[in-house]
Amino acid sequence: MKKIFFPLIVLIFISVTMGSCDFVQNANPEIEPTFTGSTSIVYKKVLVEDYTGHKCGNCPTAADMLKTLETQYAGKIVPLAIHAGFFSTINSTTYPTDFRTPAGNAYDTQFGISSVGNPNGLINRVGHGSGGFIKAYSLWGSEVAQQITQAAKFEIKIKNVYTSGSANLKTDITVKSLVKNTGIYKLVVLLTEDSVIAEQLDYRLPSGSQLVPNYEFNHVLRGSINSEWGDAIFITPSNANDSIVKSYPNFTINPIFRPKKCHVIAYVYDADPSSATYYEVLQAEEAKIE
Amino acid sequence: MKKLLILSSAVILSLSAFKTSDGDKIPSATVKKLDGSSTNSNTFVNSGKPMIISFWATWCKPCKKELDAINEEYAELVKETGVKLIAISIDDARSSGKVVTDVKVKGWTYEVYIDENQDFKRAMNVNNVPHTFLVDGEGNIVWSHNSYAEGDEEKLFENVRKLANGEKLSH
Amino acid sequence: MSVKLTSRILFIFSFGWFCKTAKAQLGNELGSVHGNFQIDAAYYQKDTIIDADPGSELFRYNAFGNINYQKGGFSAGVRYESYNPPLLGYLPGYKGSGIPYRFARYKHKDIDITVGNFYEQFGSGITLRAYENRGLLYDNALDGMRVIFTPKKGITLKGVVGKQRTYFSLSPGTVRGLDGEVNIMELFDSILGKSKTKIIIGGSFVSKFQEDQDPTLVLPENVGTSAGRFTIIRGGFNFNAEYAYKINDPSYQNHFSYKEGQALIASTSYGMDGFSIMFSGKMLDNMSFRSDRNAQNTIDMINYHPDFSKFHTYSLMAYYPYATQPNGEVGGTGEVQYKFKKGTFLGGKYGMDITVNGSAYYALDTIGLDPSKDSIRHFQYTTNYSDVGDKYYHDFNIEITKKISKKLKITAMYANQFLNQSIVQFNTPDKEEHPDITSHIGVLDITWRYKTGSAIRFETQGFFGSYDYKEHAKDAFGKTNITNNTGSWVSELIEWTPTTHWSITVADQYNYNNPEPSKRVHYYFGMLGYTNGPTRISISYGRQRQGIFCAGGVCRFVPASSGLSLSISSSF
Repeated sequence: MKKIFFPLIVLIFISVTMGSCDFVQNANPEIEPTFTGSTSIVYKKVLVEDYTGHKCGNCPTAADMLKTLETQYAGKIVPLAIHAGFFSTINSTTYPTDFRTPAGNAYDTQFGISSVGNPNGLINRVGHGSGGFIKAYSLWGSEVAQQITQAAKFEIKIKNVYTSGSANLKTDITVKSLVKNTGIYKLVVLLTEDSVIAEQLDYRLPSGSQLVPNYEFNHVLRGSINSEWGDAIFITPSNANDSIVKSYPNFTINPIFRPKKCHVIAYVYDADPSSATYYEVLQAEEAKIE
Repeated sequence: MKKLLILSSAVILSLSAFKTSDGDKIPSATVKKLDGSSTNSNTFVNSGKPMIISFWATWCKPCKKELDAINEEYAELVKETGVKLIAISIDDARSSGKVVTDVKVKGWTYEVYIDENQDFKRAMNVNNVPHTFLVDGEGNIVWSHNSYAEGDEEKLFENVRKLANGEKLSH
Repeated sequence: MSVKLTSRILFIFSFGWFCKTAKAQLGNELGSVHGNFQIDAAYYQKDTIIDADPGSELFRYNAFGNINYQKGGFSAGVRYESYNPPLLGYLPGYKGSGIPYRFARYKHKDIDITVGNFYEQFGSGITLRAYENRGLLYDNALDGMRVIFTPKKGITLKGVVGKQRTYFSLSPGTVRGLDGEVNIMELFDSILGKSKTKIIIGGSFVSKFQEDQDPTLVLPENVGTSAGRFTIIRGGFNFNAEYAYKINDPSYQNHFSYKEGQALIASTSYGMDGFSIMFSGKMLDNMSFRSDRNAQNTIDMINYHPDFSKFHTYSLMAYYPYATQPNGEVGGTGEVQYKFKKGTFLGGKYGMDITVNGSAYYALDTIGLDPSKDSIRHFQYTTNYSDVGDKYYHDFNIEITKKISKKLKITAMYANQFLNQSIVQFNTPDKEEHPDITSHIGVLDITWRYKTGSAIRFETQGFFGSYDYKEHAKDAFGKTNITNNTGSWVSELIEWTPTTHWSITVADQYNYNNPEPSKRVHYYFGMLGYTNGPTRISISYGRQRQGIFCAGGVCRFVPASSGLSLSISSSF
């Protein structure tokens, strides 16, 4: 009996697996409507971090992915490009622009990005405990799609006042608790700049012309307005609709940065080391400084 | 630093619990002969005489040193004790093609098998090569040794002679 | 040390001890319990001279323990692993503890069934190889079910289904595979059993399934690969070849190319007493195959691309190692071994062994499709199989071993190597930062057995590299950034084994010719080892230089480190 049984299973197995090879003719998907949700619920805005470097020839592919997601999920994601580690080192001739920041280096070390390589990203810094913080760019789309459907625990509002004479930025961040929140939370406020033109290696181009001298860098992390790991908020458990205002009245914008292209990014994350979602970003927001 | 001290003392205390266990039979696993056919490790026999089972790899210097050192006295030892050495190569596809050439060039007359999927290695609880086992005439694993230092083969010969004379072994 | 950590480490020992006791009581009728364990722990220190910065976690360890039970055809086992955090240079994702490996297996006559975790290889591994190498922390065991069926002597059929281990969880993709092998001489034993020529043919099919959740691309959810193989053996002659084909498999590693994959691997050898010759060649084109299309490093690799280049054991010979390029490569390795017999002119009283080995690997000659003309986004390219692209690597080496007297043995070795470092190790065409390296390497290894069971070994090595770089890159702090141009090295080692139980090793590697004078430093190292039966303990202290570590076709950067290490392994 067994003698017949086994080959039979094998035959079924072959026919099932052989028949299921997917040959793709056209890689372009049909555009599906993105998630809209209910108007009475505040959803998460997703912090998408792109760890990149000007010497990383595969990184423009990831930057393009971020651009695609910005269009597809307009107003639902907060993009952030972090230049740190090996691919961001500079030299006087080909890569003179230093995009590195102490905050970016700190994140890179904490999440171990450089030891894995670039391009890589974090989506709302989800992954504590499972060893899976780092997400390849090809995963960003599906991760974002999942995050944006979740109801937020907090709402963030940013109010910027920029005085051009003194190059002073005053930013007030209002964080509203949407449900009863009893954990440990921190607020981080960062500065980014768009449309910075500099050298970038791009492997998609034919060899000999892979060094692009006028590549456009977006969402470049320029520094932290408070600190890389942030300030504690809601030290005592908060009820729904409790809100606090964190004010950072005196931040001087480096004269090299162009205020018109700068954004303030604010996010609240789970800062409880014993929590299963340690480091996870619970809400994010961005606003132009002018 | 303190952690390391605690760890090492914990280890040394616990080590007293670990010694080669005597009297187990060779576990069953499929290994390949050099002619490509498969055989089961539990069929290794030497008609009542002792056996040496040695795990090695073509890329492992100490392993080849050990097998070379044994080879110099092997013919004599076989005559004296009737021992048989079974050499188990753990080479994977990268180097398994070199097993047969190494064996031929070295002129080893051992019984050689390839454990490409490392099933036998796992069944024998081998961490690192070289790892050498002694099996008595009844097929019980009675002694094992990890790594090779110059002169280790002398101890092995001594133990083989003891086994052939029906004596008990100590570490 | 935290209580948690202590208890985790003690767990391995106490469990082992329990099993040992249990076994003594069980006796043979109830089956046998065996196991092994290994702990590698290190206490790191900051060492600014060699740029070793361990960060805030100074104590790190890799530990595992196996417990196996066997009775007749039934066996079962578990492995406990703990890395909190793993040693420097290993993938940080392994941080944690758990039981990622457990299985039950039953073998009876012609059937062999495993449920739980298992390791398996089809042919040379080009379609499937679930493999572990604990030392490299490479483990892609399948978790699922395997059936091996031997309906008749000479025929083996294997079926597997499962998910691959990914750190302490499982891959998002499912792997299904089927393999059949026929040993023709064994099958027709009555007619051909006496034949000296052995012929084995085999074929395999492996398919993976992973959901497409990507909003920007249409990805194939089922990707299949199949292969056929052939082996012929007659006396000392051996020939085997395997061809594999893979359908469109866009992945992170192949930059989401929808091109099909192909591989051809062939190897032939002839050996006789005192002489052997071997040649292996291969061509790989887009053959990376992973159960998670987004996986990186050595994670979730379903197949294996054998690297035939010589596996060097002398440290400076392996300073710039090669790694298989699964996206595309062509090349081969040849080796001749000859033994001058005792009593001949060169052989002397004890004979002399000589091995000559050479390898060369090249990129494929490919022409990419202009992305602007690729409206259906297939990311296609075409391969010209009649030519090769850039050179990746070569290694020509000669090794001579001669026993001078009963007490003295000498090995001398020379190698000439070339490495296209920027592509092979860093995946970038940036030659300025990662110049091509041509090197001459020499080794002299002398063992002196001054009395029975006591020996001293001296090893001296020299690495003389020339780096094809244009200039040294300077960073914002004016520091020269030449991590990959380290000039030339010498290495000295003395290993003393006063008795067969103990060994003492002292070594130093000196970067005497680093273009940056401040980096001309000594990497000293000392080790005390103790072996007793199956147990081995070693304690070492010293510096470890930064390097590139290649396994499974992937290279990773191992940072410089400095500190005290403890290593224990045993089996029972």
